[in-house]
Amino acid sequence: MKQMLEYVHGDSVIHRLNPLVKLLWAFLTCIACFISSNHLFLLGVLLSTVVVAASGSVLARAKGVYKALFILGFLLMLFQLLFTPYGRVYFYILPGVPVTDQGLSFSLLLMLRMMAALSPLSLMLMLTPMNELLTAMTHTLRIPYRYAFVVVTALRFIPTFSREMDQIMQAQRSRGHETDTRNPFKKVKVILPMCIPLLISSVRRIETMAISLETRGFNTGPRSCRKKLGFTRFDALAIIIVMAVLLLSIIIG
Amino acid sequence: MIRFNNVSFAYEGSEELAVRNINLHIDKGEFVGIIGPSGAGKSTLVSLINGVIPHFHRGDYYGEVLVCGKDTLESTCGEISRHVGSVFQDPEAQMVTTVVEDEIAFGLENFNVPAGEIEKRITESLKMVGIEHLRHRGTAALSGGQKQRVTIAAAIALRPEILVLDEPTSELDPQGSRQVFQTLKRLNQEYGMTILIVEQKVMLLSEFCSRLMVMEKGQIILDGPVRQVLEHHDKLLELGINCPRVVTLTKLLKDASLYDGDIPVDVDEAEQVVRKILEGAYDQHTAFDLSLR
Ligand SMILES: Nc1ncnc2c1ncn2[C@@H]1O[C@H](COP(=O)(O)OP(=O)(O)O)[C@@H](O)[C@H]1O
Ligand SMILES: [Mg+2]
Repeated sequence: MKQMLEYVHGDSVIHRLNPLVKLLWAFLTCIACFISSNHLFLLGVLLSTVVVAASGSVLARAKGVYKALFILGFLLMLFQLLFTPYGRVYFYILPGVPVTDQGLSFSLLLMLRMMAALSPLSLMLMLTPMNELLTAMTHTLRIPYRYAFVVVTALRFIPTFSREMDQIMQAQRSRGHETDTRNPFKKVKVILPMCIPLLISSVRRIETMAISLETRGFNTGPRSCRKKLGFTRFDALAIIIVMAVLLLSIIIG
Repeated sequence: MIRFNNVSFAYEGSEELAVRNINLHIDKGEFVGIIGPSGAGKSTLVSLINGVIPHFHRGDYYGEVLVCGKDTLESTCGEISRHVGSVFQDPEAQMVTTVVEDEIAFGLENFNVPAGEIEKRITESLKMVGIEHLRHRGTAALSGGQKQRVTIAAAIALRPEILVLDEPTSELDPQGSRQVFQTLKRLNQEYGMTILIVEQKVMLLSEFCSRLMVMEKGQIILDGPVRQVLEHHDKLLELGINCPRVVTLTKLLKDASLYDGDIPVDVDEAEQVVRKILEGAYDQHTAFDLSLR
């Protein structure tokens, strides 16, 4: 989880794009994927995200994202496949539960859509430094600094919490609680009692963080900004491409 | 620079005073070490200086704390932070951002330091604590010691008049801790930065600080120039503070009435002392006597 949202430092063309352009890319691609119901279009979008990941040299990290989305998509696909009774029946998987051509087509569409629509969000976070995102939100979008800060900081806590969760899980295990189980019901039963220590420790953490903020002059007056965000030819080009993709999704439907 | 007038404080919900009747005066440019057993009130004392008490922790507060002439009760934590830089015990929890250089820049941006100057300060402070190579790294994947260095770099980048550090080297190896102290010494000498450091490693304190305070049960029981405080060898040992070996040696020499000067604070000085004693001993033909002891 933490690996999928964390920034990876680099100096590629994608890294140097204006953060708002990347944000726009992630959102419009997502929308385009929901507008279109064309298998080939979605596959094309998915491949284009792979190209983006490769040019940002985060392909290795992105592999994990695709894998997770694939598993999620596959489950959805199975569901869809088994509950689409219309169309030409290929065969019966159980008595009364047919596998049809439409079911197959629908479920495939769902999976492609899932992967193509969500991977850009994760890639955007991998390829955009938080502080640039913050600058873009406050300076260009004019979101008040404290609100923009809250959004960005929520992301900062993900690795902390996931590590904490691991620690608590280990502590439980050393006390003889079984934590490795594939049974989803058991898993919930295992995880629930851990939420309380996690909650307590996060409250404490957030308090320390608040102290750290105040003692470093948070929100005490006008703020300077380390990086000026530029707008280059590449940004313009990227916007044109993104718009074209959106238009295409509307045209082919 | 810092003045405590009869300060006592008890945390909300606790009957006991965490610090009691503290009277204290710290001048500009002092380098003060604070040592004492766990629960002695060291962190509480530090929180009183940077305004975390009374602005974050509630409780019963008596007396007054003046920092740069102003009562901390009457200014906000943010105002105090313009004079006082802080490094807290838990390095992970005090990190605000996800990338090392952003962490250093955070305070500088808050204080409206111009962009060019920020770059300069980032480079400089990372270099000072020896982690230039971590500049673009994510903070989540750093080791405890590396995180501590980052938090120290973030504090010194602000060049505060006063810097308070609460056990900032607890996760660093001896060499790393030493480097931190050397950096602090430099800041102390070059910028006249007033430094207050809570630390368990007595050897480093005695080598680098000009003044040492020993706390026990909420009180400052010893306070003075390092050498003078180290004279109270028995008291320190009673508190579980292991004196530097050179101090122990001097103590033995003194008990045997062989030496009666200042306490040496490092090995070189101790060697001189021992040499002198030995020379003296041979001069007076009492070498035999010495070996008997
Ligand atoms: N946030 C808090 N709430 C209640 N009591 C506290 C809190 N922090 C410290 N104390 C108590 O105050 C006393 C002094 O603690 P502290 O200043 O942290 O000591 P030290 O840093 O020397 O280990 C201890 O008895 C401790 O239990
Ligand atoms: Mg403490």
